[in-house]
Amino acid sequence: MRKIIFIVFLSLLLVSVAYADQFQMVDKNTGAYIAYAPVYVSESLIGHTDKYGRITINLTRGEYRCKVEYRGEHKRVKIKKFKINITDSIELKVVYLDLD
Amino acid sequence: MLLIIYGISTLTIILGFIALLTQKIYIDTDTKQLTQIDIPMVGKMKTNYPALIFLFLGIFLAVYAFSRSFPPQKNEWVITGSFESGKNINWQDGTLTVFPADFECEVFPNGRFEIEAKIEEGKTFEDVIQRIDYSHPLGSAQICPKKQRETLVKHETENSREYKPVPIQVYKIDK
Repeated sequence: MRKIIFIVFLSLLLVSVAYADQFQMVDKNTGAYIAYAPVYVSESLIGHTDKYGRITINLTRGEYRCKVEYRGEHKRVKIKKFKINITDSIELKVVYLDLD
Repeated sequence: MLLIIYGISTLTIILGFIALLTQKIYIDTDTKQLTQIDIPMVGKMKTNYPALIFLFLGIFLAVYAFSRSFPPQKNEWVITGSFESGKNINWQDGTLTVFPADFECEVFPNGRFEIEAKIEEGKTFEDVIQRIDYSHPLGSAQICPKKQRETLVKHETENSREYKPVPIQVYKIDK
């Protein structure tokens, strides 16, 4: 019985653990932070970057498709798609995006 | 109250117009003049005056209601709270920003913050503000007033909110 409880507990732990990876979005061309921008993972808004383009993403390990909304020329809203890898890293990962 | 005045004025204008459009002119056969009514204290009036009075009263009420509602009355709001971190942080190095409006924000050395807002009557802080962002070189914190009202507000009055301490997310910079 104990074994079963232990296995169930362990599998639940392995399945549901979400990691808080930290990312920083930077414009590859200008080096500017992509500040206060909404970030979507699989079409769901997961939050906004801060003034320094940083965001914490809580997800289980794996690769995810993301998109960020930013203001382009004439303040038009543009979308940039990219991929992130959740690895349970504690370091801030800088994502360089090639914005138009 | 203003909606009621708008309603009354609209009704009065409509009634005035109907009265004017359906009016019949009666001419005195003897004098060949328009029939006049002599009301004590008021004086003589032509028969279509009541309809005109209806119309002008309606217009007056509409103008009065419009002048009272534009620009809309605004109420002063004060939102307070604090940020916390396990690290020794100079809180004033950070930037407090409110979206989407440009309100007065201040962060004090002890991590407390204050937002002063003028908000249209009938609306709440949560209706107007989508999010509050505090960005510091070491970390940041974000508050979604509407979503987190239940969990984050410690004390609230009609025109104020006091938030519980908000922990900031510290970022570990790779060197």
